[in-house]
Amino acid sequence: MGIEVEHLVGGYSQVPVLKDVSFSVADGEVVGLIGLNGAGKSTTINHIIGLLTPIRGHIQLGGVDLKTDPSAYKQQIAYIPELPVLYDELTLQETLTLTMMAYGLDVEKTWIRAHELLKTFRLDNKLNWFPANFSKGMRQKVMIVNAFMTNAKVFIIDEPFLGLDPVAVHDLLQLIEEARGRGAAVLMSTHVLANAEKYCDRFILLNQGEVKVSGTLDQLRAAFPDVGGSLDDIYLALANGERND
Amino acid sequence: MVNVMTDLQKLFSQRLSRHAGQLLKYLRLVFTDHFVIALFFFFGALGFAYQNELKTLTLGVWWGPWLTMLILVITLQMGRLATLLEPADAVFLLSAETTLHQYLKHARNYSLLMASFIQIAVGVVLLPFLARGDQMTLLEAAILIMTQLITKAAWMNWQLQQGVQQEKHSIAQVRLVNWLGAIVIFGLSLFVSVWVGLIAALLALSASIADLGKRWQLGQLAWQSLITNENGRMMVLYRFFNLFTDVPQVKATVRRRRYLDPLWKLVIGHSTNPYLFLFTRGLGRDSDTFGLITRLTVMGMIILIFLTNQWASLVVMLLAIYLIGFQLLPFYREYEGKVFTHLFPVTKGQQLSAFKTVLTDVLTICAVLFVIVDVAVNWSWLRLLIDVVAMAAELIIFIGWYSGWRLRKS
Repeated sequence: MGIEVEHLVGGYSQVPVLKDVSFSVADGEVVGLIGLNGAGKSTTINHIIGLLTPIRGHIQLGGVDLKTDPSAYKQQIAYIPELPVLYDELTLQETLTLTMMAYGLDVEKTWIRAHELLKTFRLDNKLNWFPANFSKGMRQKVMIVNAFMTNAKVFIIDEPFLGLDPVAVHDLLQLIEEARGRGAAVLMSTHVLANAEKYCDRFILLNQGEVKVSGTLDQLRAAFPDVGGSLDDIYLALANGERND
Repeated sequence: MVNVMTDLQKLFSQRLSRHAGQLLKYLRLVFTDHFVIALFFFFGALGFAYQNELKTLTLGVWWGPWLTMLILVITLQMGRLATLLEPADAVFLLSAETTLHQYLKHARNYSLLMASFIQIAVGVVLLPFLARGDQMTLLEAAILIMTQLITKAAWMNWQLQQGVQQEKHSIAQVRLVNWLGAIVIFGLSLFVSVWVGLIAALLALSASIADLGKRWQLGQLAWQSLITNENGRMMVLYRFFNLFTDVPQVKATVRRRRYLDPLWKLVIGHSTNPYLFLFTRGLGRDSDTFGLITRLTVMGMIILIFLTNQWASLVVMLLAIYLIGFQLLPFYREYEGKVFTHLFPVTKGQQLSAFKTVLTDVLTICAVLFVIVDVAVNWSWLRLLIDVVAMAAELIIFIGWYSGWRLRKS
């Protein structure tokens, strides 16, 4: 279950960015999607959330295929985009209400959870403001609250740490832990390797649209035996390897 | 260093020629042939009326100086400091901050020249009134206009001073000086003597020059306020041009419009369709679409007030509803650019039905308003019946069939 990507070939035009990408994220697992700029991380994510149609290959969420049952497929996703996306005309309160309506959540119960999260991220006194006018970090927090107030089975998180203050980073990591504890599958793309190393169960290293290596940190160490122990070292080795190609 | 100086001096003329080119482009679009002819007639009629009024004016009316003062004080506020600074300057020119004085002086001079045109134009139009209403001699009137120009120069310096000082005056403080100072100077001119007013204006100017001289030496600029002011000034221009043509810089602003909140509840009821939630707020708060609907509706109502012919009224009503509905159709795709719109587990059918609900509500309100105005002006049962039947038929055809066909097609 969780996320299953099989032999995915895809991209924005007929020229594929992703060349035969396969990986999976099990329920109750946090997987880091790692790679240089332009490696295909965001493209992979856009395919998983259904913005792009695969040229070849399959993606399943919780055993559901996007083509056969789009509604059930999307119902499972909570998504935090790389850049905050908000409706200009909705207040913070209305933004969250809209999400609850769209996902058919129990409004009263979800609001209890939402209020907790808003308090954590110090947004609880801004319910009647337009979040589109917030600072980057605060808008990012709105996206986090928006995603984590749901009981989604699949979390897709694209580069979540940029612009967040250290307290918020800590709180977000805790939320991710909680989601894992509930049995959700979490796919997170990031360049902040220190966080990834600490919180991800497994890693997928993308390079030029292909999965270079994947596995736990120990498995990665085995694949790059001479470079050093940390994810940082492995990542740099990968980057240098590409430069020398 | 010398190099930077000369380059920065050229910078203002570069900016100015680009700015002028841009203004020219838009002015060509504003002053089309028809508009010029309309303006010609408008100002001709205005001038004619002014002339007739002057003839009937008793010499030296008591309210003459008061009216003059009001006009001069308001005119004085026109013509802002145009620095032509851009947001990126705060980053790229920050290191050249201390050498920007020349640039800003050029900007001040250009702004003053532009503002002087307005001041002189108003002064010239005012001349006959000064002669009759205030019983001034030509010399006195000329000195009054001179006072106006000198005060404007002082005000321009004062505006520039806001940009080169670090302590910030509150808006209230600035306004107080702008208006009260002008009232004092023109009060002296009109109620004491034009010479006293002139001296007061000269004092204000020399004070502003001395003050500015002191600030220059400190060398720091209030970038934030300089850039905000310049953006604000450009926005005023763009908004004006936007009345005539599409200006890409004018982005729709969002207004909260709290008073519409009960309306949403009424429209949405117990529906759980998220699109209904989104479309209602979007339409009500997006100033572009909201403004368009209200403008068309008000215009339709005004036309209906003046039309007595039943069939002409009916055509206007049908046309207005069609126009409003047609202009609303693109709003269906307003949110396609937002990723969450695609992520929501919601069907296309729900989106379409929500849009139709909103369309029905908006058009029904417009139609009811039109019918009310029409029958209020020309009451008859028959007229009411025909209006209602025609409107209902149009709404059914437009919403039930036409809108769906259009939206599927595009």
